[in-house]
Amino acid sequence: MNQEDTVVIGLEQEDSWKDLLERLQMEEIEIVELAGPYPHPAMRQKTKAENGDKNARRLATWGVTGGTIGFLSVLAWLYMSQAVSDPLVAQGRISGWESLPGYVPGLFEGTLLGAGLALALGFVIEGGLLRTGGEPSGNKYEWKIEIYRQDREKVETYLKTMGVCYEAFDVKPLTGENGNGWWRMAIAGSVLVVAGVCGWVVTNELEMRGPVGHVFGNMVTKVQQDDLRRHGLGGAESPGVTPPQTVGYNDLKQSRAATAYLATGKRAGGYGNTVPEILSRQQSIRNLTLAGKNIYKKHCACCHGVEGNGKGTVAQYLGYPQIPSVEEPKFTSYPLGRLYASTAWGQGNMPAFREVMPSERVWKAVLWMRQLATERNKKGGRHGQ
Amino acid sequence: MIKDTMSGATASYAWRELRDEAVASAVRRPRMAWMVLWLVACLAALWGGGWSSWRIADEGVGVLGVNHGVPWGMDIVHFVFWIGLGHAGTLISAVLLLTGQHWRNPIARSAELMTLCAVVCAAVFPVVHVGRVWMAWMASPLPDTSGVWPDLSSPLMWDVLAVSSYLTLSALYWWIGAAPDFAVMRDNCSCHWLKKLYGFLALGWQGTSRQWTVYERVSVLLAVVLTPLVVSVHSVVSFDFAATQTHGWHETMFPPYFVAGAILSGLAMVQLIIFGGQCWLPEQTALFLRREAMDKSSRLLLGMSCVMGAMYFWETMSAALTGGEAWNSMKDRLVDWPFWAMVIGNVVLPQVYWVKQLRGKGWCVVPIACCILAGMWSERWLIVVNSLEHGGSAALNSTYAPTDVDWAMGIGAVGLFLALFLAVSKVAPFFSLADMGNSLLCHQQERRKP
Repeated sequence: MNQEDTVVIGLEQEDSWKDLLERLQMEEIEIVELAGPYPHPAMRQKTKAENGDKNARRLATWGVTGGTIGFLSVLAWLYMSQAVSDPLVAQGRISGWESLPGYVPGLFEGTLLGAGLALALGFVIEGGLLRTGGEPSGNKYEWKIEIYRQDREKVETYLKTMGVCYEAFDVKPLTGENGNGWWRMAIAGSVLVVAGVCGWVVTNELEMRGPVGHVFGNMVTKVQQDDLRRHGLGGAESPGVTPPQTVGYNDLKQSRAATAYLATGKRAGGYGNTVPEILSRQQSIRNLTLAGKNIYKKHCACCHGVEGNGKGTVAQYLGYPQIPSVEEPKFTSYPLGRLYASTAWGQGNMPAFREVMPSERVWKAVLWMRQLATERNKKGGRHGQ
Repeated sequence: MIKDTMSGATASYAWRELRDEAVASAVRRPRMAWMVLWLVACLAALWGGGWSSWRIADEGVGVLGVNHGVPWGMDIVHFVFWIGLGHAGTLISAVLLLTGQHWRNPIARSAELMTLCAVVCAAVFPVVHVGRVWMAWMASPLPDTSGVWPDLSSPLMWDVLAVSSYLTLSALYWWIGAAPDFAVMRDNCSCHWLKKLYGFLALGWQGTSRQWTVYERVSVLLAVVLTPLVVSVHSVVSFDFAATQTHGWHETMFPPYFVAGAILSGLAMVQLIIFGGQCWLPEQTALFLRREAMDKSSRLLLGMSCVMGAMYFWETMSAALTGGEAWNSMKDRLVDWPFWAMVIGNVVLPQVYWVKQLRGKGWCVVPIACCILAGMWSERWLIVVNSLEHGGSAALNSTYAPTDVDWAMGIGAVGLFLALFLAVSKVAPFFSLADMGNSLLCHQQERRKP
């Protein structure tokens, strides 16, 4: 039906509404729809009589479907975490699917979540919400009866005879076939998805914990300031420290950039691939690399292996994630600054070594690691050998 | 549900009075006392929750009092406390709906809102207490850079799933239940911006017979979904402790222990909210809130109190019978103040509700409810901190002293709860207009029967 076929009669009081309803039923005038601010037995009777409660009956199907989807989603998560993507399972270190009782709470909660979300969606769809276009009627006429336009005159005559306060509305039908609210849900859903993706990108740890990590300051900028002070260049937070008189403004600016590279491994535009000038001015690269050998043996060999083959003593423990060899493309494709950044600030399972030693020692260890990769490539070394 | 003095009035008339009062309450300027309380709550939330969270993220978890021997401190105590508070709201709004307890109608909506606010407060703690909050995404079903997915056989991951489900479904249950009320507010509100807000929240609700039928069915079905959550969520929270090997944690009775305690603390909070409602909304509560609701909730509280008494007794006896380190830890606990605060608050004081006349008296109910909340907080302290302080290994024995950041987080959570609850209940009807209309109609029809 469309707007031209029906009219909505609004009444102030529930008693008048009920009386009119009885009158319409007595005169066998067809009632298209009823509405009120709270559920009334007459509404329930009408819905049941016309088999109109099919929408309500479908809700159970929504719930079961949603619960099934929730169950299967958690099952897929379990499959990924226990079988497919777990490197320990792929390496044959553990067999996977070892904790069957432990999977029950997750599956249970996932099922309930899926069922609940589906029921909420079902409420919106089966109830015809977001599709209705009826206009608010004002504060008096909360009880409504929708009838066909042809019966309007008869009904209004009756109401005038009874002296009942009413109003006839030429609004869109109560049945809500002309609504256009779905676009709001689509926009809200898109905004949520975009926000989620942005949040994931911003917090993603691929790029040195992302920009969000820098918001909290002390992990990078404090270290930078410490390095600046250690090299006598002062810092933004230490105005009392004046640079040496022989250092001009441009030198100071370059020195700050150099120290920033020493601390972060990054130059403007990305990771650098050179040894920091501050270090190469002090020692030759050969000496820096040799100095890195002992640092590597002390801090890195336990996991990466003395030879750099990823077979350190700690890495041999059952359950420890496998570590690639240093000549693997994963490492050799990194520029030197990237290798420094991963070592200094941590990546994946590797801790942040900048918390246990200064930047210079991390750079030296990185240089030794690159040296090991070069040697292993020359020897034709492969993973595991 | 109509007071006897209104026996001559129709359901429609009584409902219109409730509606008009609800609309007036939303539109009128808040009282000075409300404004002051809300501002203080907001400041507490910003300082206690916001600033402290920033310090934890910026300076690290060293600003908290946790250490190697006691890695979980007040953050976890508060988390368990607030999650537990929310359970009574779901019990009242969902479980009692399924069991046909109509006395819950006047208090169901505010109880649901309490659940929502409490779970929001609780959710802050596990996110913040890890320190590097920007890594919290690793608890989501996404692989990290090593390609490893979060392990769903870990109790901590069950907790993430359970609390997320509880928060989402509670929010949806509250919103769906309040949609007809928002439609009434939309149609009757004179303020333009409030009208827009209510229009959005009402989702286009018209109140047709089809929509009411769907509404009543979805309320029941969502209650069916939420009922197991009442038991499962706090059971899963208890698994964070029970699935470990720590003395005082590794106990099979923890799931029912936690759930019963949660319902006890939640009921106490609901009673405080009812009395708060009587102070702030005397006209509405005078119309519809009967002694039956207070009487039945006090009896339920008494029952839970007896259950907790039994749990404390079994826990003590099992430690005594086990002997060794378990009994040594228990002996230390028995002489500590939190233990007696717990027993007196949760078990001894609620026994006054055996006296029927005291169940609805404000001067009795309010102090006892406050003592129950203090007792339940003490219980969580005992479980989390006391058990860790007696780690069973000489290397792990240490003491825990909460820092100012710990206390600030606790105060911030209280502020956040108050701020959220006051703000939402200012805008949304305190009573469920739809439920009250239905109840009034049923009452009228019964009175008119020959």
